[in-house]
Amino acid sequence: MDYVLTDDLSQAQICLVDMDAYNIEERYQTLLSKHPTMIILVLSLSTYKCRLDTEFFIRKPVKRTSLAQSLHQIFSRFFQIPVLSSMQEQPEPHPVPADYKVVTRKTTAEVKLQTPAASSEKKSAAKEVKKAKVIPIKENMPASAANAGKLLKVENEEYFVGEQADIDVDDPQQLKTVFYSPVNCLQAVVEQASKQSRQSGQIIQVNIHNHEFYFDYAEQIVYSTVGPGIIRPLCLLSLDNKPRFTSRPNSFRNELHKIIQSNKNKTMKKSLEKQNWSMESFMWLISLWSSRGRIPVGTEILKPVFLMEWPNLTRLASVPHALRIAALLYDHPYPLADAARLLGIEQRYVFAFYSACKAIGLANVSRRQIDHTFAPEPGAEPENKSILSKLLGRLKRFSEKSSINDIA
Amino acid sequence: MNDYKIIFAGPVGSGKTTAIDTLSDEAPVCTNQSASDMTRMRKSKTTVAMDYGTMVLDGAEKIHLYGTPGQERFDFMWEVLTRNGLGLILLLDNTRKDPLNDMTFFLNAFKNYIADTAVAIGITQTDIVPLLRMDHYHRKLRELGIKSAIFEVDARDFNDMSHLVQALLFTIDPGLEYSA
Repeated sequence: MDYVLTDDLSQAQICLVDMDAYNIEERYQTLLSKHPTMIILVLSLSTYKCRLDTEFFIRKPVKRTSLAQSLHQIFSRFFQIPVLSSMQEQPEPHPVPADYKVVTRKTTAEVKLQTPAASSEKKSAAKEVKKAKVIPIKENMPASAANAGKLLKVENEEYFVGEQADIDVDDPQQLKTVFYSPVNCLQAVVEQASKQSRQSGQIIQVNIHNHEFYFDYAEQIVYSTVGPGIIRPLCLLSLDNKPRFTSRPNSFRNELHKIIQSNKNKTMKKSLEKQNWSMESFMWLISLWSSRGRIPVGTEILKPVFLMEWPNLTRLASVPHALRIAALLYDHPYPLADAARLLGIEQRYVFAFYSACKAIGLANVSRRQIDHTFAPEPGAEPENKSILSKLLGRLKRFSEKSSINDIA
Repeated sequence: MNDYKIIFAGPVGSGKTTAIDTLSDEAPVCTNQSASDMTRMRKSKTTVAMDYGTMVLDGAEKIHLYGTPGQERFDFMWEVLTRNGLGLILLLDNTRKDPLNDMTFFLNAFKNYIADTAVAIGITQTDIVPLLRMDHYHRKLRELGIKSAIFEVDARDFNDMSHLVQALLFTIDPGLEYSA
């Protein structure tokens, strides 16, 4: 059976919701309040308990046949379409994009999986069914999930810094929205594994949701059996199932090197996802995907923060305006919101940058009384400011032409 | 019309000539000669006077890119080259015997120039022999009391070199904005 995707919710019969998407709970509630009878197919990496009669669940990564099977069962139940038993026996070849709301409206004709005997009956039944279409969960939002299988080139900044709006730091209600908790999430697991590997000198294997991660502090490398398409949504999940940590013998290091080299060769030749990173760039990446333009819970937002040293920005995933944020905070500690205001940029860039720098141990809240007491003197404007700006503009234009962010 | 310059310094083989070639709009002028001293151990030809390239900006203003010769015996040229410069790009070869010593030497040699302008440091060849990690360089910088951006770079890669020059410019003024 075929399904057609629509961007018009009023025409939809089934809605696919990615429960691992950013800020999904709120958006899901809005959807339910506006469309209380909509049939929902929930996708998630972790187990989801359906609360409504109209809710169904499929665990990610979603297989094509299990999705087709679920859709068909839903149609059979709600729209009187006969179930094709042969569908249940098909292999599960490819995952489908994840962060999408799939809205089924009309199926077309029966397809490949039906038996010859049932063909005419199913054809006539299928004619009754409407088309379906996939739309992003939020209209006009760049659909990062469209890249689920090929995240080598990333152009939309939301991918790294989220969509967090600027807040008034004096408003307690708004302030609540700007914090995230790395505890009990992938970021905490990564930090723990890195620490264990440093202390033991061994490779630490971590199993999470049937995925494996290997941390080798001595060689400063991380290898994962999955790529960013899985890891990024995993960053937002609360890891209810305790991750399993295992020490691997040093002899495993050679094997790991071979696996990584093989993965490097494959990703260079094909559009496969990257699966190995330097330890620092992995922790940076996980922090960006966890924070999404927010800061770790407990950060004293009104206090100045400092940058101990410049991050190695040529080898880390790019945060918009990272160079100027780094230059400012390295020169003098500033409260994060003040830094954004001084640079004339959105707070989420500064928040994301700070969270990533903190994750790799380069930034923190200043404890020096002098930084809290005296605001820094504004520096004199350089005499040749206009030429510096022109040079900057030229470098940026040329960089954009040749830019491929393959760090993720 | 004012023209401005950025100075590229660093030991022999650190990638100054390549970096200027990467950034320059026109084929750079190089004064390479066959190496006749210890330099020969690292490469067959070396810069004996300077490398020169240009970046043309809107309004036909030019940024001149000057690469100093790496050997210390040419250090008399360094002061001449740096006059009225915008800042220093220091490139260090991670595969040399003692890159931290190189860093100390060059930061000291250009101390006055850095005090008047700014410096950004690029570490090349980190993928070949990663004997030193970035934190070693940071530690040395702290010992020397110098604040500088410091990145791993491939001198052949425009984005890497662009990042380094942008870091230099933002060090001069973090509030700089991109001009069309």
